[in-house]
Amino acid sequence: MQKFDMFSGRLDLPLSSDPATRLLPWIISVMVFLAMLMLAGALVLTGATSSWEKGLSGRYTVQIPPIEGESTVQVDQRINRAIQILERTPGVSAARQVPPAEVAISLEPWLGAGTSVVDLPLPHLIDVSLADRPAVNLEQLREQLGLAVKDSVVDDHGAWRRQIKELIYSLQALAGGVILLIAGCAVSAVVFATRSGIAVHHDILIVLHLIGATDNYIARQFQRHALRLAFKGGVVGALLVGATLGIFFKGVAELDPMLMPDLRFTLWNWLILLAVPVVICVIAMRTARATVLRELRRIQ
Amino acid sequence: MIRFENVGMRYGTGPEVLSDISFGLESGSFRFVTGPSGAGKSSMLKLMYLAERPSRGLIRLFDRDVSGLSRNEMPALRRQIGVVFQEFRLIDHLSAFDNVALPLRVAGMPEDIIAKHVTELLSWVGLAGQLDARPVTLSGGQQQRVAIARAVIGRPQLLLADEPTGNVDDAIAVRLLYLFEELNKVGTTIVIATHNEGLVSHFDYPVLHLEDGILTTPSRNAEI
Repeated sequence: MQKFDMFSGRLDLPLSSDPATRLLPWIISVMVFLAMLMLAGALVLTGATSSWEKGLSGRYTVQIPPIEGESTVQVDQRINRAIQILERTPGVSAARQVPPAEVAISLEPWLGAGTSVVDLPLPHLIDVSLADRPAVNLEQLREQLGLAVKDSVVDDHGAWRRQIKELIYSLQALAGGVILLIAGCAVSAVVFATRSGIAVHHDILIVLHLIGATDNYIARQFQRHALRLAFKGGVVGALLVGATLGIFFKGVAELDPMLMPDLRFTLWNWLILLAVPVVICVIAMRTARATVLRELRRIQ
Repeated sequence: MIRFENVGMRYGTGPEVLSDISFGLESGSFRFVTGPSGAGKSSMLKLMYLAERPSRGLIRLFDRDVSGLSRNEMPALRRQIGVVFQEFRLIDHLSAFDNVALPLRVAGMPEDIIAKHVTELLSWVGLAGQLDARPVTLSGGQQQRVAIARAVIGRPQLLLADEPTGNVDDAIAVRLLYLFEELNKVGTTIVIATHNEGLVSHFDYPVLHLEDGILTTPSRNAEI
């Protein structure tokens, strides 16, 4: 009931007619739009990179380079030898050769359809799935494979995963920084509008005090007004973001999924995104309140 | 109810506008504050309604030393004081109803009770048909009645009026003072600042007379 009153309650001060506050909803709508867009970008990219990272964790890839003049039988022998060693290794749950057809499909977006990978000097790949426990002794495995299968390479994707993690952290830090910057701008706009309102209505504030109004009563008036303006701005900003993301995801859906990372928006992502206008409303309200209380102590 | 002891007051670093003011008012009393323009009547009332602080001396209101009041204690004390300001100081964008309702709203009274009290009081001061009128659309006399209604709606223990008859003719001024007299009869302490000595002579109440910021006691008080 009190929250409803905070939104719909009456104003003793004619704050709606203040020139300084007329632009505030538009400023806030731009802030909300930018903050939500930044957050949406960070969430989409974090989701995509996380799914990459998840896909690589718990797996190794063993590469067996081709040897010139080697027969198919010899190739199969080397691959089988490597698979046998892998299957005996504690911590490995499964090892299978990646069929050439699968490799061809992976390379199709770059090399075009119908390319025979058999004619290319590509390494033969073994996909290794790891069990949760025990942990594989990677050094020992590399040594064993190196002795049994010449020039074999065990890729634990560590460097790639580290890079992806760094990318995720960088994206999150960048989004956080930009959102903080936007929140700072929103705070400044509300402080300016509130101070302007206090200056314009100074005489009314004196009368309110003299008839027994507390600082809290006056602050609630400004707080209520800031909430209404921020809500208007928040709704406009959120609608603009909704439209922008709609266009973006429609465009993504039309792209080749093989070329694109997994760009999806979960329910949680939408909820996080919708929290932005709510947070901006709370920031506007709290900023207006703090500004009024500070200014009132100064003027009287 | 009110006690001034050697009170002096100055605005900023200017000269004293009130010097060595000492007097006491009992609860339920009625006083005029008289004196020529610039004598310090409004300044003395400002001290009483806590708009200004004395630069020296002691002021006690409702048995409390006002110099020791914290910012948070002021509103509750101010709600016991009704003020009719010299220029009314009505809030232009609010209707007559909302102007009068303000003291009750700041006190947190429910809207249904506010509506009942305010409508009753505005009818009593002859403005039943002007509830929704903005102050700018009202005559000087009507604005004055709205200001008086705002001052008394909270049933204050102390009512202060600064030149309340300044904008009306003598006949209406006398009627207004009868209204204050009625409020005094129900226990409200009344202090009225006016430079209209003729008006004061219609009533048998003691006078606090100021000359250049100094309190003098006219002989009529002894007679009363």
